[in-house]
Amino acid sequence: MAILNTEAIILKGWKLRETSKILQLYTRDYGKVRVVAKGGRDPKSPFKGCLEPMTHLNIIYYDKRTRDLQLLSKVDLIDPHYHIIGDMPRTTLGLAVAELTDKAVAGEESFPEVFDLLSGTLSALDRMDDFLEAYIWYFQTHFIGLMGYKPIWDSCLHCGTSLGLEGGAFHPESGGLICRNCGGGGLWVSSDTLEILFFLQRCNQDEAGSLKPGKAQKFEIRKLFDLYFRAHIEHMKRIESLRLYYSLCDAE
Amino acid sequence: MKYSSKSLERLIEAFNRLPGIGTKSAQRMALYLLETSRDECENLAKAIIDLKDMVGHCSRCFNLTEDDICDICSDVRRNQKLICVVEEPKDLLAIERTGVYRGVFHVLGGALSPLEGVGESNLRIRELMLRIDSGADELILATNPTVEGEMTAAHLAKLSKDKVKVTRIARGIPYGGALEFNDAVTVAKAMEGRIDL
Repeated sequence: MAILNTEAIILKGWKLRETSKILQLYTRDYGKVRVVAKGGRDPKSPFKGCLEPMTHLNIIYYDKRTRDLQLLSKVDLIDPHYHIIGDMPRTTLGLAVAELTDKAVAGEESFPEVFDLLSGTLSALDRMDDFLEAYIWYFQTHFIGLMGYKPIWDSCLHCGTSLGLEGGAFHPESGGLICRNCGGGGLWVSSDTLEILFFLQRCNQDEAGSLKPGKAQKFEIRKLFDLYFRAHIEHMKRIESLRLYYSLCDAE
Repeated sequence: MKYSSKSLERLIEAFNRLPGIGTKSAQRMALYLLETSRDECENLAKAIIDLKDMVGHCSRCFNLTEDDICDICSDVRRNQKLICVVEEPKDLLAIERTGVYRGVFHVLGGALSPLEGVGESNLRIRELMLRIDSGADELILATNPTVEGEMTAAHLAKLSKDKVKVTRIARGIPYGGALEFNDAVTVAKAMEGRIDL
């Protein structure tokens, strides 16, 4: 058994018995880890106030290779993402980022770039006040790239023609777009949407919120990411938190 | 078979399934019942059956009751236009234990939780809106101070703030506690929720 120390973000949690809690964590050094916080829901627990989803912690836990559930020993709060709590759009989008990470990352491999992207996205949702959905688009854009499936938006996958002015037909399995001349069918991605996708690939995280997409572009981008993730991430299911965001917060 | 009697084993297993009851406690309870009188065992069995047969939800607030309308909703001394929204009946009991609240309740049946598949339609939000439309002065949001509870409170506030005064229960330092032993979020919320004296 080893005693491990790392940074972690809580992806989700379940109640266990009267006062304990199981946590699904994404850690900087050990990937996805599941721990039990014994007595963590007790008002006298040293863990109290630190075990909610999206919280950024420094943790010490006992790791035993032969078991799936590790034992949490100590937590230090790094960032509770205070402004996300109690704000419906921020909470649903933050939970969506956590849910997506949980569903798309399989094992315990260390991937600090994904950790930094996750942490940066939650931090942006906590700090920024502009078009919040753009932060999850930014997350999706760079996350899928880190997973090795970076899409090609600027040229036709068949003939290599630039697609900037006309747009192209989306082929998620092939990893990009096909121009009209090459017989591209399926979901057509307009040039306005492509402009947003280029911007998301090259801007820094805090700039993403400056986007002001129209209604049609929003729907196109949502559909596009959904199809792309389903095509490339095994067992990828619908992101329930995003559905809640669309149904309850999109009018805001 | 672990025990000398099948009936004993079945009862231990049944107790073991209850929340907070481990195998040893289940064994102790079953052996106690074995020693006690038949009347006491019958009373216990009847109490459990009655619980399943008689207890339902109040048609107004969804508290647990044996009648159509619960004692709290039918109490004329209570302010029927002051509605406190809680997640579960056990939260209602916690507020009732204080003995200071004189309004009525609305039990939502949980909190919004996309990760557990709980959406708006799984909660009694529509019923709450109907109660507000039929006349309410204030809505007190007493959902739990968790991510899900706060999200639910924010959503309810958004739906109802144009129709009724909406307040949220305070969060902060527990009575008899010390500042230094509280977590950062609790202290921050306490600072945010400070009041004029």
